[in-house]
Amino acid sequence: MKTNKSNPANAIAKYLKVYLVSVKEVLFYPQKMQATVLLIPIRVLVFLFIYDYAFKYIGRPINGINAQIAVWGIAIYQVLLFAQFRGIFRTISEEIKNGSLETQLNKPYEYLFYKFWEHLGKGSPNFLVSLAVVLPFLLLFVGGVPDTFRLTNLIGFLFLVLGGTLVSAALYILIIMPAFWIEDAQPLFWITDKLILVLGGAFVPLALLPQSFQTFANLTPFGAPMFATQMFYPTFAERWGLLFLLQLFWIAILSLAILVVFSKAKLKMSINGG
Amino acid sequence: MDKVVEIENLTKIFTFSVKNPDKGFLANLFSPQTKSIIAVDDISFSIEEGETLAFIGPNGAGKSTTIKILTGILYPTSGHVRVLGLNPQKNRKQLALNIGTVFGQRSQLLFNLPLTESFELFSKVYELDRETYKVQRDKLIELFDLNEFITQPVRKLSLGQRMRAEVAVALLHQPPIIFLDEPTIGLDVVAKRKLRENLKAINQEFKTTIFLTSHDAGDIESICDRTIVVNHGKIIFDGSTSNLRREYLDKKVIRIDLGDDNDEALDLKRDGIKAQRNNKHEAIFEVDTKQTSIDDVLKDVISGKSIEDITIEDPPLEEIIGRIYENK
Repeated sequence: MKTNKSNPANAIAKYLKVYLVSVKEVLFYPQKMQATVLLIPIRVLVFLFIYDYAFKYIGRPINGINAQIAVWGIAIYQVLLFAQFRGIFRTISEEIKNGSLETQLNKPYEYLFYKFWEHLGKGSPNFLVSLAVVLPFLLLFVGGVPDTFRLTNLIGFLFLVLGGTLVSAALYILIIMPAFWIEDAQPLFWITDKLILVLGGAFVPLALLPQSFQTFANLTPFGAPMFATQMFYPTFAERWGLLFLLQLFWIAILSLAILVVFSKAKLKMSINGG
Repeated sequence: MDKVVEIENLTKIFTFSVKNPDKGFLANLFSPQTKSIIAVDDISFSIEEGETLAFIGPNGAGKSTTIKILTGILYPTSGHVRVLGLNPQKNRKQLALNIGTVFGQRSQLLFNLPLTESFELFSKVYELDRETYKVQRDKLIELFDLNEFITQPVRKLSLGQRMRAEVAVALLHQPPIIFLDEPTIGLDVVAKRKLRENLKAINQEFKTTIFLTSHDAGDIESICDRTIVVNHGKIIFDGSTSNLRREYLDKKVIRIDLGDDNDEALDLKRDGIKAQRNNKHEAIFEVDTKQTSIDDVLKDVISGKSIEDITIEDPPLEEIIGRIYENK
């Protein structure tokens, strides 16, 4: 019997459409996005008060970090969260539990690629809008751009955002894989999420943490998603290339692991409700 | 005629670990007890192009597992499966490009966006060229009567409208076969009828092979010419839907309108006759044809009584199916 074959050239159009549809879905309900994005300046303001007070008390920068750099880094962390893939864990986890995975496994696309582009689409508008909200806020209330900023840092920043997004996607997708066997991989999510939170600089810039923490952050996949938050560190210009290579290393390792585990997961799969 | 589905000796066993309350956490984790369930037990059948097949059985009979193996979602434990000449597990993506699937309890539409967006997305997913897509989309919109709500977000559609849309989207790439897993579940009478008409129409217009699972006898009767009944993973009936009725039909219902001239009710004293109602104006009997022939019953009825009308009915298919499930 004659059957149609998938044309690899159509893959780009296919996943691009998934991305655009997801963007549209977010824009269709802007209220939710507004609420999430407007919380960021409030959080940043709280950190501004804390770090301003702390550095005034200490009276000097620590490892080249002052209150201004610390708050910019934390603000960037908050914005970058939208380019991360935390949400993909919950989506896939739910789809495994409620069995809706089946409606997608019999479609002519790669399920994990579909989820990747879908989440990228969901995160993009939030990322851009939060950047547009936070930047003027930082310029106005945190005393302009830190002196450590160079235009070349911006290039490094963009590379590390891209790399960090991919590491985060690979990491959260990999830790969902055990859910195919044990149904609930929530504890793994908790551990990963908290490690990224601490090592990524959500509350305390990495440069202020002990050296052992910094080494752990730089040499494990848990610090890699948020390397871009280091863009105002005085040593960033010399280091971002190395950090990007580390990200590429983790992307390769984690993707390989996903490939192996997911192919085994598909063999073991039992769908709830049938 | 080409075979669109070929299954030989298909078996699927699910093995999973079971917690032993007498063992500790670590013992359960590292040496768990396992339990196996045979969901599909050595079944074989084939489906020809353009056939309308009902694949039915009680809950847990192995229907959905079979559909999921046929669509490449699950891997069989043993056996040989070909759909459109392809191995569903080895050629999952190619097969997916050539089949339609609708799972009644799971939506494949974009919930928050207008229905038009789902059509657009699926046109890319199924790699359709713009012209083919537009022609087929317009045909389906007309056939499934989607025009009045096509611009509404899917979440605002009624269940009946949504199910019509689900089936329409699944047919966008003109698949030679569509798998429908309980498509009418939860629908009201009107929505069910409409969807059944649509399914019948696509079978006739596009020659689409229909593989349907349903608990609703109405779906089976109105859509499917052939029925396979499974229970405990095994096929217990495979034949035409009309034969299913005949083969398992050992009861008839006789309704007799006695009019106003009779003084008393009918007196039928034969084995295998159960009166559902019996008064001097009307009588309804259920006759077990294995014990008493309809001929004999009619002779008794006619002798000595004046009757105005008589009808002999088969029990509803639902009842027959229920009896098959209970007996096997």
